[in-house]
Amino acid sequence: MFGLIRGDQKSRIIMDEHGRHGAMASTREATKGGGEVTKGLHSFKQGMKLHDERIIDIKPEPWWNGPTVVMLTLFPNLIVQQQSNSMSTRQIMPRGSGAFDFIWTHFGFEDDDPDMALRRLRQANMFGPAGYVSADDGEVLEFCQESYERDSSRSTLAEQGGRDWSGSNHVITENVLRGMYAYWRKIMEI
Amino acid sequence: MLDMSDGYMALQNLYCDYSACLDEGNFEGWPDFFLEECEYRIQPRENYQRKLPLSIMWLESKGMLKDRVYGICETLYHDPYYQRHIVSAPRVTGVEGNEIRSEANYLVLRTKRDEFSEIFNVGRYIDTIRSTADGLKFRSRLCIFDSELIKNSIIYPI
Repeated sequence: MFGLIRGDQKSRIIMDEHGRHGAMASTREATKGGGEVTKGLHSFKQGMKLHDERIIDIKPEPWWNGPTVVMLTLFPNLIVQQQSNSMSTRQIMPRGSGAFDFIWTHFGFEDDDPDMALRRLRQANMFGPAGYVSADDGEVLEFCQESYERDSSRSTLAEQGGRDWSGSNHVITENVLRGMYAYWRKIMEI
Repeated sequence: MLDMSDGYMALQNLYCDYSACLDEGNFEGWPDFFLEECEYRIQPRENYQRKLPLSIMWLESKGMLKDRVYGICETLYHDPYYQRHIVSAPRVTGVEGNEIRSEANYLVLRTKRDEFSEIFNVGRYIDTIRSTADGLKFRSRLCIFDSELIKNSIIYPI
């Protein structure tokens, strides 16, 4: 979306030694066109231009130290994220089997000037239940869950990017997810 | 004959046309209900009442509305659904010059074709409407919804 996060960007996936916590750090680049990874992605639109660009009026902040996107997943249920000037947490609260609450909290800094506070609010359009970046995450998770549950007498295996949780230099993979579940299984003694 | 071009009938008609547009899934037609300089917001009641600005959708110009439509049609991968808007008669809260302030309760039902219809979003529109040569247009439409829970995602406008 808007070149903010793409499958072919330089991204780093960092995991702790147990695979339980993870972070994806990526830097917005002046990449043109689509590379190998974006081929076949329906939602990748090369010529797209916004009518009103205020939503992506991005101002680099010194504390970023480089990456423009960092998604930090803290075992078992917290995501702390920065995408450009938008900062938020996503908290997963189970509601029993097959359902969970997904709690979004957006935040800024106490010493943000009014301009920065406004910028963060505008960029908040990317996240939350209607967000340009995140709304389809929720939709896709629901598709996946529905398809996994389709036949209760069988089980489903999704293995995007392999079956282990070793390193991978792009983000179209489920390595980190597998790392987290490997640790979960271990402490649940499954 | 009914004269829909003036007064309260024109206002009621604006509400009806707006709902019909979204219920038909005519998203390209949606921005035309607004002025070039406009505001559209979907915000939880809790934030609205506490004067906290965060909204789940906050668009500040007709251009931003068009960008949202592009997102719906081209980039936001989602499970399509029908919307059905049930909107109360508008309650006029003020008239100043060529602007009307009015509110209406709304109930949006969502139907995925292979599932039962369900209540999707319930709240109140808080509107400022301007009379123009092209008829009544929204200068701002706030959709203030009651529950703090959302059924996964809101892709289409309300």
